Amino acid sequence: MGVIRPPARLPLMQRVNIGSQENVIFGGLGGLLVLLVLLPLGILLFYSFWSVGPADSDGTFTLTNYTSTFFDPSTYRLLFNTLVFAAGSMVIGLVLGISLAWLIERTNSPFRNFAFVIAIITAGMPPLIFAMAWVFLLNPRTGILNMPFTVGLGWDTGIFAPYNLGTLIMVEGFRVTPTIFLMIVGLFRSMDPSLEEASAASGAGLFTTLRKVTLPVMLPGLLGVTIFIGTATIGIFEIPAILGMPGGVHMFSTRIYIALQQLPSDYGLAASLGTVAGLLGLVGIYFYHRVTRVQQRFATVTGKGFRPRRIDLGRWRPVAGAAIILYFIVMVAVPVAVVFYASLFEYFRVPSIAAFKDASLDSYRGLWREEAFWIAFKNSMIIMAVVPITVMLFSSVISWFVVRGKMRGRGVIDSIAFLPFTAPSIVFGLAFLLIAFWVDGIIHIYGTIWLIALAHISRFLPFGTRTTNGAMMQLHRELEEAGSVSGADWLTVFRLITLRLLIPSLLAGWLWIAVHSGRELSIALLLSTTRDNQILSALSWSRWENGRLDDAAALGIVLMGIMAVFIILARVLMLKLAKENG
Amino acid sequence: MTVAVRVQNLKKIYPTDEGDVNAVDDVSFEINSGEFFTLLGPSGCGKSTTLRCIAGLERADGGEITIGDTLVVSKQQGLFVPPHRRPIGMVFQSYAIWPHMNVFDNVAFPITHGSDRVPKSEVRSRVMTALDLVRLGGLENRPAPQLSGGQQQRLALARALVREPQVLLLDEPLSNLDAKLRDEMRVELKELTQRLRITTVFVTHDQLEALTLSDQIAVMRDGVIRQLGSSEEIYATPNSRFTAEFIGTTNLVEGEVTETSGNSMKVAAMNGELVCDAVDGFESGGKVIVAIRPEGLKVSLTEPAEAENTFSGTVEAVIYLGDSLDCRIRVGEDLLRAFVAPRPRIAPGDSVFISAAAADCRPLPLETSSIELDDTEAAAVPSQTSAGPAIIA
Amino acid sequence: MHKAISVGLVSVLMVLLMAACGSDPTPTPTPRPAAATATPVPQTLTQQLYEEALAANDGRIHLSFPLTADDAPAILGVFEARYPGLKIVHTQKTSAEVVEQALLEHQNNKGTVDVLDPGRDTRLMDTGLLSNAKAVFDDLKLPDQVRYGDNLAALYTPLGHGPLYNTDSISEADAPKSWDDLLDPKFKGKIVLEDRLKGFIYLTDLPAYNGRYSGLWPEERIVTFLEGLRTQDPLIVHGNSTVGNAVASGERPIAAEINMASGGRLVKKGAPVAIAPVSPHPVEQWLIAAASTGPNPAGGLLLLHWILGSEGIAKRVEFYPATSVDPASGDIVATEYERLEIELAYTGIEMAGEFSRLQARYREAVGFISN
Repeated sequence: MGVIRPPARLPLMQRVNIGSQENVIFGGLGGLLVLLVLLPLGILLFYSFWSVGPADSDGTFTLTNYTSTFFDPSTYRLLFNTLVFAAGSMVIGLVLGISLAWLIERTNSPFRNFAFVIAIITAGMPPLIFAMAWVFLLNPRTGILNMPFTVGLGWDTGIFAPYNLGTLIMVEGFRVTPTIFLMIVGLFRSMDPSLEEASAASGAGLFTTLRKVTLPVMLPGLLGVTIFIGTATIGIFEIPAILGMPGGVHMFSTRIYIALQQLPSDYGLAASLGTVAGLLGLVGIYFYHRVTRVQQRFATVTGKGFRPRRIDLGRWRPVAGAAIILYFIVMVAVPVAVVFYASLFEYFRVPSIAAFKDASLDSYRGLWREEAFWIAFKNSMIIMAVVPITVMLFSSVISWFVVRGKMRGRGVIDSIAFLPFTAPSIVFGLAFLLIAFWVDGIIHIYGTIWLIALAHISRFLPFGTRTTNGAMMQLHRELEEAGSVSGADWLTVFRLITLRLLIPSLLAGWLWIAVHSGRELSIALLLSTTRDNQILSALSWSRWENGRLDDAAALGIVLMGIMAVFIILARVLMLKLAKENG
Repeated sequence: MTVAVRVQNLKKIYPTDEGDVNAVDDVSFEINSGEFFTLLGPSGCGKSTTLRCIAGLERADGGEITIGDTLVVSKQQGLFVPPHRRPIGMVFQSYAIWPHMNVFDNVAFPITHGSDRVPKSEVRSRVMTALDLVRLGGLENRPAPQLSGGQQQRLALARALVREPQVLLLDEPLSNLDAKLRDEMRVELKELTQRLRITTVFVTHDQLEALTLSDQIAVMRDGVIRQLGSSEEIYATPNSRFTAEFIGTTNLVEGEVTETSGNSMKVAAMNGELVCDAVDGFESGGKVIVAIRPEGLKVSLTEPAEAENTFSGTVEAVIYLGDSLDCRIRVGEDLLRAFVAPRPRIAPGDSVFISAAAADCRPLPLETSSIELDDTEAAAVPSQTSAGPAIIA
Repeated sequence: MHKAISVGLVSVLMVLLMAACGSDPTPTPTPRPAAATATPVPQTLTQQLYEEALAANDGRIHLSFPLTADDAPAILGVFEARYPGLKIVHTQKTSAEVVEQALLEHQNNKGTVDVLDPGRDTRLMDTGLLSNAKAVFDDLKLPDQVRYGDNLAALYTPLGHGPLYNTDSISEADAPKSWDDLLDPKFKGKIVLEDRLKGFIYLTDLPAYNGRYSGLWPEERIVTFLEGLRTQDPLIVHGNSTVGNAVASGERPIAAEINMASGGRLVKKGAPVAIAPVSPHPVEQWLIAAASTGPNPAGGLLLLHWILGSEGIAKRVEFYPATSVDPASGDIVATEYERLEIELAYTGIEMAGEFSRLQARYREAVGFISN
């Protein structure tokens, strides 16, 4: 062997540490997150300790917002209601969501594609409309579901009643089912089907396999979904507002809304309640992270095609088909039909022959003629286009650093990106309003649709990173390393390899965010200053609050129609991509 | 002879729940230009980590690496050249073929998007040349996921070679192939690297691959190189029990040195005396293990003329291999394994005489631990015993 | 250092990018040109305002007001026909939303609204945000009791609040004839109430009124009344349309109180509802004012003048019940008021300061758990 020679003289270029593309981008990312996430939440925190709202000039530091909250016994009732609501609706959502997801992903049940599309379309339904539909269905005297009793038996009131915690839980459970379904489909797709096959080969029947293999393996992922959705439910507004308040059942979100509706608005209370709700959310995040760290990955994108086996349901197939049709009817057809019915009349009345004579499409004609409608339509389109793309792009980069990067502080980035999840939307919107004022001298975003877009980007960032984190973990790192050793720099590898391979997940996340962003209400309400930056969901609420139920219902139907188109297009695209990638 | 790759005092530490682990512990070697150099060892020995440090996919915690004339890693100087700026080509164990591109684009990527781009007009010819080298010509438009395992492996190779790199790095590229393909690819790989005269660094746990392909082998364990040498040196003259057991099969006989004189040593073992070629480092009275390859043992039913290194024993088992017999023969406390010709036919229960030439008996220092030969990709195992010094012969 | 620079650079770039993409729906107000040279004949108030309005903000006037979709274009279209060149940009917003917005804007020197509902509290009047419209009000000969804050705002409509009942479920004979009739046990489980309780708040006689307004009740009497109403097991909902719907559909056949705009609309559309003949109907201060800090202050005053004038009212009546108390105008609520001999009780601006307190107290009395 040779003698060890002294190192050769180094060309100057080689001495300098090149390749810090990653560092630059990481730094920029950090800066953006500070602006998008920490700043709004910081402002919120500030006002929770401030004695007056942002419109008044002389305020002082105070703890009374918190002391009055903590010493008020009704706060604990709020807490109880909120937690029971979240837990109960989660149980319903999980049972329905898991069953559906399993049927559709793992078996040869009929109507699979159809069910998938329907599930996502429900996600596009504005919660306001969903809640209204259930009120119309369950009203004691005029509720459609009570008709067998009121019309048939001549009772004064039927057996169903809308304004209680039980109904709240049921309706919200139905409402989160499609979201849970989508998330669990993702879990199923990432699970290694050879585990189930091994169980089948050992002689285990269908349900045994499900119980003993599928569910335990998915448990960490399921826990993650549970915590995620549960945390989101804590901040939800429309359902408790419509179905809870009249029955005296209040949650954090409705209480905050009332505080902001007062004159003068009680920002302090709103902010402190928002912070408390946010702390609950933080607890949720903490457990979520612990659980997802445990989550094991069973399959990777290594370039070898991998398709899961479907269980043959045999004689259970028609039952599955019937279940899916039933789901469709309850979850979609009935509420949509009811809302459509409501849009045909000036005021709601129990369906009857006489009633149908008065039905008309006037509300739709009115909307068509109305300038405010078309402006709102345009704005909703902008939101649904800009927000998801931006979020998914951000999320991809964030996830890369969180999952693959080696910088210190990348765990912090992940946590920051998850924070917008904690505060209820309604206070989040408030924070962005204030930011808009502060920066107004430099950039004019106050009163524009871009402010709403910005707030949405921040708000939905956690949805994005959750998807891309999972996708990035499944992406075999050697695929990127192969790019590096082929001579491509970080940006090129990210662009041409990482992003391209993530596209199926990116598309799924894009769709989800587009749908949630399009129907989002609380932030849009707060940030809509003029007609020029209203979006369809806010317009619908505004009509409802001002006594135009038919308009509100019609707008809800239109919004759902738009969602349906989006969803179908995206689904077609996703199927095409799946076919191409083999 | 120029040095293509030089690794000096390379260190890589991984923090684990039980404390820091030296995945690569002060490893040094030189690879000459055009040489086929293999890092061989069980899982967790640090061979992949070393390769990845050369590639730049891991950052060393100490030491220096030079590729060609260029220092690419120096912990003292704080120098780290990122992988995309190193003149390398690499094939991964999983091949890492990009599923969203076809064969052509996969191979073209390094020269269309890498740091040494070629003009558009040349791309096609370079790609086709690379594909022809690995005998994938004609498949350039096929989507990559539609290739078979063997084809994907060759695609990975073509992609690594298209840049005409100074060094080719191969991380267990044959492990995922079935046995027959593996044999074929081994031959092709050797032929290719020789023809191109390209410096190759090869990582494997399969000693047969190492022996047949390499000009030089570095046998690694627990983050250090236990022995560095040519295939023949490693096989015939292992310097430790670990190396002897890891490469091929061997018999290990414990004994005590009775005499060392000049060219030979005498060892009391198997209730008799073994005469071995002398090796440094052993003294009279010291304990020793003598390694004898099964093919070096001669078995006969009649007493051989040569009395040296002859023992009598009983056959316990015989496996018929067609071209040879694999026998287990009990000699006193030891059970020896021998490969002999199929005739004369030996049967279990026979009393036989077993003998070996002094040159085939290799004395080794006594070690208490044995090797693990499992296939799972485990993290680096904390060293438990004192390993021998890293030897640069 | 290297990292800090790149952070700053990228952040600024992103922020600029967003700004560049931002559209600007509210163009910055253009400066008014100098007033026309004096002509021999003095201009009328409206002529002068018209000229100034044309010159500012491209003739656009921003109206933030809860007019609804059908009404707005038709009503405002008449204004635009009368004053060609002017365009009204209407946003449907409640006063609660607009007030906070206007205050925040004012703090940041950024007014976007010309005409608005200044809301129940006096903050907008106190901040000097509103134009003094004395000239306009004098020109229209508005009585004192409909002017507020020393000519800073006027009553948009004398919007009364009173009970509404479903005529299919409750006959005219059974309908309540006084507020206290609502406590009759026969109405138990049949009452619906809006959670803002505005009618009862406005019904309150405040010491600060100094007896200026007749027909109002003392606070304690209202509290007792609401506690009694609570035993009637009322349904307390959010939103005028929910209340109106509940009554019209028969779900809860009697609304304890509803504003006459919503009630009147249902009557007009032929729903099976009727106004209950209780007296008095307290008048909600649904005010309208022009902002001096908006993009087009003169336009704001001009619009104010038109809306409160006879032509504006005549047009509003077509769509909007409870716009006028003059039966001759054809307003359906005014007609019912006359027929049922319902009296109105006006209320004062001093209510603004007491509104929140009263609302909290009344909500507690009636059992609306706002906590």
